[in-house]
Amino acid sequence: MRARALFALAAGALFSLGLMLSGLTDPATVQRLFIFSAEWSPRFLFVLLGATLPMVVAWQVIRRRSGDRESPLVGGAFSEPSSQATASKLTPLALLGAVLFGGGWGAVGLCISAALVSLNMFSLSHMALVIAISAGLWLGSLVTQFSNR
Amino acid sequence: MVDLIYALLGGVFMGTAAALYLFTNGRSLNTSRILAGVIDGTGRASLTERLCFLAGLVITPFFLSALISLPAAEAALPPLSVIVAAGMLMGLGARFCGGCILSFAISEAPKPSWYAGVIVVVMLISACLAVMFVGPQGVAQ
Repeated sequence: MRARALFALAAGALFSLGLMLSGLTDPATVQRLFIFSAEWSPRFLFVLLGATLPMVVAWQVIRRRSGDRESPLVGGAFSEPSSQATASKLTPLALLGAVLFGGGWGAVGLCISAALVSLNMFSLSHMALVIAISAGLWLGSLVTQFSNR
Repeated sequence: MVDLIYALLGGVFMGTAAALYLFTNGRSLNTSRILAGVIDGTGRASLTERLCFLAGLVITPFFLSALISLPAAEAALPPLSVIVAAGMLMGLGARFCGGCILSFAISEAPKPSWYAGVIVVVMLISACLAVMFVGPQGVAQ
């Protein structure tokens, strides 16, 4: 239990560092990705390229070891990625979710992870954003529970 | 060019974090799901692990802010009403489709699926439209 918590803390710290280095915690940088002008930069593509490399290695190692049946290092079992779990469920609600998420992300220039990282600024705007995201997640849970009945 | 190197390096750190989380705890790194599990109580069984991940995400910048330049507070954010509306949309959207842009684009990229591909493309198109209509608040015109 303690090992799981420590590894989760380390993963959070590494992810936070990656977000800051890549510039995804800067709303202006993110919004500039969607303005197709002479100054457009393939920055997001480089972030994805850099992030994909360790994950490709990770999935290959897991597959080679025992076809996804090997336990994680600190016990338990590998959970399916959300797209695997919902591969056959590209529902109108899921598509609506992607539209809503993209709209919010583009409007404010910070994704959910970047909003949490930006809390270190102690500004009302960033705190309001995290509170609003939390309220949206809670409301979304109620709606999905209702729609699954 | 330096920006692109930082972007690549940042991506490697994010991918390494996702790989670490997968190898050790056996889960895809999906911030919106981790946070949602804390908020709606569905992640009660793994509450400590979730809180530790979120703590790592939030606390790290305090230690690193002396080394890495962070964007100026407030300057690049839209008015409070837009922030609240955008936050609600992101929370609702992430819950409806099962994740946020980084979780689909990073944690699941090596295991491509139609679902993740379509969701990422729709998110990017929607974000593009939002920047066009709401306006790039922090981008110098």
